[in-house]
Amino acid sequence: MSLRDRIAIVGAYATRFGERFESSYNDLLVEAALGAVGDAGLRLADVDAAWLGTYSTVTTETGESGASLADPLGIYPKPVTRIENQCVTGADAFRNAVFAVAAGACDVALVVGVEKMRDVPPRDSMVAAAVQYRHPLLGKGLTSPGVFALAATRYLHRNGLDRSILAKVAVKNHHHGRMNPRAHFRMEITEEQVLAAPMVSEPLGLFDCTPTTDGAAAVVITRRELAGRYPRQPVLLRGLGLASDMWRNRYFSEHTDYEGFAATRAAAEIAYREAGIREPLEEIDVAEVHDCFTITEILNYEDLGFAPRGEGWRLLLDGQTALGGRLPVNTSGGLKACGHPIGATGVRMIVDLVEQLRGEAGERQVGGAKLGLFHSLGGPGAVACVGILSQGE
Amino acid sequence: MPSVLAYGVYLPRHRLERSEIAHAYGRKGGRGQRSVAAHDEDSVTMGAEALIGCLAAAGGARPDRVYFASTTPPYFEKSAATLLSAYCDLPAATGAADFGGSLRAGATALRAACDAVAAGSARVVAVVVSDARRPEPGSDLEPRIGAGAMAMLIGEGTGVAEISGFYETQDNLYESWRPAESGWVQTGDPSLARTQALRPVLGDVLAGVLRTTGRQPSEIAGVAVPTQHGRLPAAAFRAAGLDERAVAAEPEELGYAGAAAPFLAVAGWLERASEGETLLAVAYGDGAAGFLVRRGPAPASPQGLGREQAQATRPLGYVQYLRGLGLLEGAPSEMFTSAAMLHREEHQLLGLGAERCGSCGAVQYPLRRICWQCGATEGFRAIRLGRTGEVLTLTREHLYPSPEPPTTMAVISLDGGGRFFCQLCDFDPQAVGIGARVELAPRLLHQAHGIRHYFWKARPVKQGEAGA
Repeated sequence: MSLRDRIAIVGAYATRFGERFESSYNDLLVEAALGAVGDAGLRLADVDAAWLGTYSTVTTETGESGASLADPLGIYPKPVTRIENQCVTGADAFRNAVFAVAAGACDVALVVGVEKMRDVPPRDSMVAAAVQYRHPLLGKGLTSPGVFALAATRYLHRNGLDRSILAKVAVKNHHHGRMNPRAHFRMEITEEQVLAAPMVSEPLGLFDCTPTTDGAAAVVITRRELAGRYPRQPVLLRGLGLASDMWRNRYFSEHTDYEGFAATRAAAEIAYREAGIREPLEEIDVAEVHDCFTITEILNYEDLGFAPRGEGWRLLLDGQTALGGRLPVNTSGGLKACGHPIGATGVRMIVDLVEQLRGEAGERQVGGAKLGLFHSLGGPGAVACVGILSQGE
Repeated sequence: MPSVLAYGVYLPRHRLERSEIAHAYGRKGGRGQRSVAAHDEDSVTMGAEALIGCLAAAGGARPDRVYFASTTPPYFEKSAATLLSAYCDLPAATGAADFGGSLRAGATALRAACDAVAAGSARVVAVVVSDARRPEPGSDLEPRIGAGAMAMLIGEGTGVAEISGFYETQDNLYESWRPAESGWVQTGDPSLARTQALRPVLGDVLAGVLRTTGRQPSEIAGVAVPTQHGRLPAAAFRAAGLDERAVAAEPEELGYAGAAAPFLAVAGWLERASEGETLLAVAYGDGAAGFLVRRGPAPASPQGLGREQAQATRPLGYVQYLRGLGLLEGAPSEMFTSAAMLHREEHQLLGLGAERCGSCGAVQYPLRRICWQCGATEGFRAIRLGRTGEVLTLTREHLYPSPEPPTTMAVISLDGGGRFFCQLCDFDPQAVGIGARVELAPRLLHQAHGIRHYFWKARPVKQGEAGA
């Protein structure tokens, strides 16, 4: 069953991302939900069912179960479900809502992704997840940047590159982020600054990493044939794929080559097949990809078929993936400049693409953008989701 | 007669300049370097290194008992010998006993092993002597202490050496001691120790071994009698009719390795002596125990002191050393652990137990019910992971808390199949990159909830060196 052209996004909204110390989990969630519902010209009561994407109940004061959304919105007795699927949480919440609408189980679904990551001590956050929890011995010493650093070391070695190629991703995405009023970081940085930053997990330094960020994003979806009822120009879902791959055994088996993520390739294959895309670099106008670390964006280029294996880095040399280039990637600033409130990220990407496809992205608008791609990666590499959106009529 | 059938030695790689210790306390002088157990080493990891080397040298021989001797066992209540057995993947039916409480504990364990073998109640006993004492920072003892371990397989038969002639005395002097409530070794008046303990006690034991075995001083080719007070006074030798020049030069320049010190000296002598020569070894501590070591025809161990002394060493600054003594202080104290999990998975975690898929040949580690490669659900063959391999990729990790940051994590392609993912240890960061040869070494990861979390780290090996 293809999802192609069956689902329309009719409302979209994202909060400002950043260190939102003044806002609670519920504040962010309610702002995003009301924003998306309002964008669709609806009231909360018009929503038939809702999905909540939140990754961690350790890093937030709430977030467990659908009740964490139903409660602050007060939409009882509407069915609400929480989705958690590592860093793909937001995208997968969207995907499950898509299934429900496509199946006819509901007409109007609300998807809210939210994560509050800054109200905890540093050692209690994502670092803690790897350092303090998980298996007492196996892989001890691993952190989130560390796993991507293993890929970076291998990639640079195999292709005879140095850290400066990674820095170009950070410079590009900060440049985009400066133009995005919702981004966590809104300043330009230079390659020299990136290279001089403190090391985190070598070869990744501080500016190679996504920051720790609070934020929420929401979309309202409906069946395509109902899209005409809503005031905004709809955005259509053309293809959507999710794929899994080895997780904890990854480091202990020959399954992994550290030169890309098989889950992204498998998810892209599904999404491209549904959307009928054969030459992604030529056909896609704008992409939001999972740049949790600079190396990840380069590997994504290859896994998503924008470039052959071992050559993704070349796209950065002449600005092909920068605004104004052949396929602008992460015009929002990406995870690098927006931050990565985990449950929110996938939904935030969709909101950014909706803006681009409506032609409302302002300074960072890609001229004539008709087809957009979003990509989330979790695990790392254990799960990936790729979606294709197009401008509706 | 009970013999040393095989042996293995381990010396920690870290070295601390004695002048740096002196400098830290505004003192002058300090010659040479002492060995230091790294922050991730203790008597169990060092003992495991020595025992693994010993078992490799023994060519597959397995002990039916493991005796562990140390003044620095990791637990007051919990057997270090049992931990060692798990590291070496020995069967559950292997006997285990822990000796301690005195610097002469190693000789006591060796004597018990010889007695058991001679009595026929045990076939082969592994005696592992390992010590990493903690002298109080700034104390006179601090520059004099070293660390190390030796493991021996004791059984009947022709081997590297025959052991005989035990003679033991007791002496209740406060020479050095460690109260149960304190982490530091205390020492008494050094003059008191020299005049009241070392000279009479050691002189008596040297003479006692000769007297009870009927040996003449001329039959003794070497004497090994290390103490933490340096060379024994000449008078002690003369009293026994021995020539002080016959003293075996144990690796004393690296510091007195506690209970292991006499055994490191024995190992060094075994590697120099000719067949038929006899060494008189004495372990001092609350009295002393002496015994004879007669060099046999078997070659010295390839896993012996010579190999260890040839290893590349790592300089350790005094501040790093002090941080290491805090044994991972500053690391998160709320690390998740589960005694059930550690027990359930012990065979794979300490014993490196793995399986190979009978259908596709893929190595399964950690163990899993369904083959990750072909999906087979049965037909697996038990294997042990190889302990050597090559670095596939790595990262220097600055976020992970450690007394010696950064922590380097590496993915290793193991010889014989499979991969391993772990921290690196004992390495020069500049010299280790993709393609570097490494071997897995028993190491402490961290301490949490009072449990020392033992696992494996990878240490670079010189090109062409196989590793144990």
